[in-house]
Amino acid sequence: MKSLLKFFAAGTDQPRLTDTALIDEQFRYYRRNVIVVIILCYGLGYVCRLALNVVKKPLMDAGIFTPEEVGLIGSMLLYGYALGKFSNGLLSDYSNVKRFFAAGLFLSAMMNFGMSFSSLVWLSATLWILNGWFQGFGAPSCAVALASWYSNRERGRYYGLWSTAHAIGEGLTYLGIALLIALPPKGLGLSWQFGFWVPATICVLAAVIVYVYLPDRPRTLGLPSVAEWRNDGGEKAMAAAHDAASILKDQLKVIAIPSMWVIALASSSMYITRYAVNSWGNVYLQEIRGFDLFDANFFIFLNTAAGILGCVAYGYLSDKLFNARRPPANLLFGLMELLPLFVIFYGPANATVLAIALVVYGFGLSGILASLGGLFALDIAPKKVAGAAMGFIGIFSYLGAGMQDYVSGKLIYDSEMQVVFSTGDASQTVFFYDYSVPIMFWIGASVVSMILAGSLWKVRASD
Amino acid sequence: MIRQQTGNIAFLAAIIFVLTACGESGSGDYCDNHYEFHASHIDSVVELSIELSEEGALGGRLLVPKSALDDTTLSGIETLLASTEKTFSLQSQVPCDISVTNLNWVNDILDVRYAASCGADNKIGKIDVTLFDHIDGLEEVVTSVTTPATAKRFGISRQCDAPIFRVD
Repeated sequence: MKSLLKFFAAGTDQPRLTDTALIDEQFRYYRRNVIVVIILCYGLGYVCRLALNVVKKPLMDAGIFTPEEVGLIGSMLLYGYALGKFSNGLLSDYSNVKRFFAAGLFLSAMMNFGMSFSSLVWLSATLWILNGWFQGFGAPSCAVALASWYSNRERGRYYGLWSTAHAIGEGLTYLGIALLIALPPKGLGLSWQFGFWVPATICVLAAVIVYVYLPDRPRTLGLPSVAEWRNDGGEKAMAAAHDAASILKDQLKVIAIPSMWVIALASSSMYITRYAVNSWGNVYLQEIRGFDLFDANFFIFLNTAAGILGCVAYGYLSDKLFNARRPPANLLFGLMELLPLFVIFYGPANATVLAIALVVYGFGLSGILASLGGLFALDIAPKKVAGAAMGFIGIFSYLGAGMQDYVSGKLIYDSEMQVVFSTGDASQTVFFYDYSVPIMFWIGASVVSMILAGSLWKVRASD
Repeated sequence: MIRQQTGNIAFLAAIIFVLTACGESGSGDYCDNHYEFHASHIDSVVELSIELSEEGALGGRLLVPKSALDDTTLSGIETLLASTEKTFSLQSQVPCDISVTNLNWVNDILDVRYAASCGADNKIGKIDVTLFDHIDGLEEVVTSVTTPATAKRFGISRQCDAPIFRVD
């Protein structure tokens, strides 16, 4: 145990290099590595997180799991991730992030590998909750790498760049995995197991890249801190703030702010819709709208791709157009998220209309999530406990998302009708589902989120 | 450097080998690529369509071409299909029976129609289709099922382990 902890512990500080030219060269080299590796590998890691979403329908069609069971298994990942958000954030502060992140990717790959052999609900649920926890190694590791290698004044830009990784990963999953298992001519027509094997292989590859190319903190390599190198004094102020004994007291203040609870519930409700569309949207499009697996996943990809723009647009518009007031922007983006849902679920059976609706939905959703999932909370919370505020909102959000996956699966399963053909000793079954009740649940969650967010209309940012 | 590149290429080659070498096998070709074969036997394929309405009414239609049956089966097919339990049955909250509303030959195709009224609140959980058990030479049934929520068309073949979703 001691040697395991030692393996993951951050390296010890090395004697400082004195050659300024060498320091500059090393910083340039490692900083380029850091941003490329965290974008690439965090994105690749997403493939191991979302694989189940793409193979849900084949699993249900093959009668391996019912929708309720698939929902239960899917919810486990989100619970594991919620747990990981809390525990791994703490652990990553003391870790050599390259080992921590690489281990997370490798272990996540093993969970995917295991999933391809499991047809037992309890085993798959166990593998998937562990996968959620291992997936949670990624974000804090990347955050620590960003904090260690980019100074305060430039971190926002690099954080923004890194934020695009999830869209890259989601795109790779929804298109790439669909390409493998969709029937020809659109796909290769491979069995659903490849939907886990290929992500596992990709994540092992990503783990190797992280292990080889992601550096530990600058001081462990004999370099000065990035604040010193960039002559950006922000880090000292931050350090001073962290030295204060009142941190825990301030962290507890977060849960004493009523608006924070409202935001947490609003975010949780919005995560219900977000993960409903991401987890069940492609299944719905195949089951009810009659699209094939590839097209259905392509539609979901469109909404995640539009999300990149939505995030950026929300920040810009709320700052410039509404003078940094989030509630009006929340209303605008909330409507952009809510109204397309009616088109997606009740609109005409036209692929172009559906694609446009999903793009607008993805744009609006990402904007409102940027606010409810973080920005609005950061405005309200004391600034030195921003991390605690984010953690508080994050746990609520993922608990909502996890609960959604199971409830959606249960509601879908309740509507199941089977058409069974007896063919001598064997039988072949085709399953039929009705999504009308789950759709009401998903849209209702967005309405609740908008009402809760709207109730904070007069709330202003604290200093 | 060269060694590292060779290693990378070997790794990629291994992945490609795994992807290409481990595909489905066995009866796979006929079942996986059924759409390529379907046109050649379309005249001897039995078609079944089932429609369920919001009000709980069920309408069914079975089209059996003469060429789908051997001589022995052909001689007794009308009697066989007049008995609904030898075609399909329903499992619902409240039992509801299917009746044959029409049975006649049209251009060498036996056209059988079925109807049932199960009630709006009576959830149908399962439709058991037993055609393969009672018609010996039957090889394939192309089925269309329409529910108030969705519609699906698929093929069931005696030669395949799973339904065929890309029929043609």
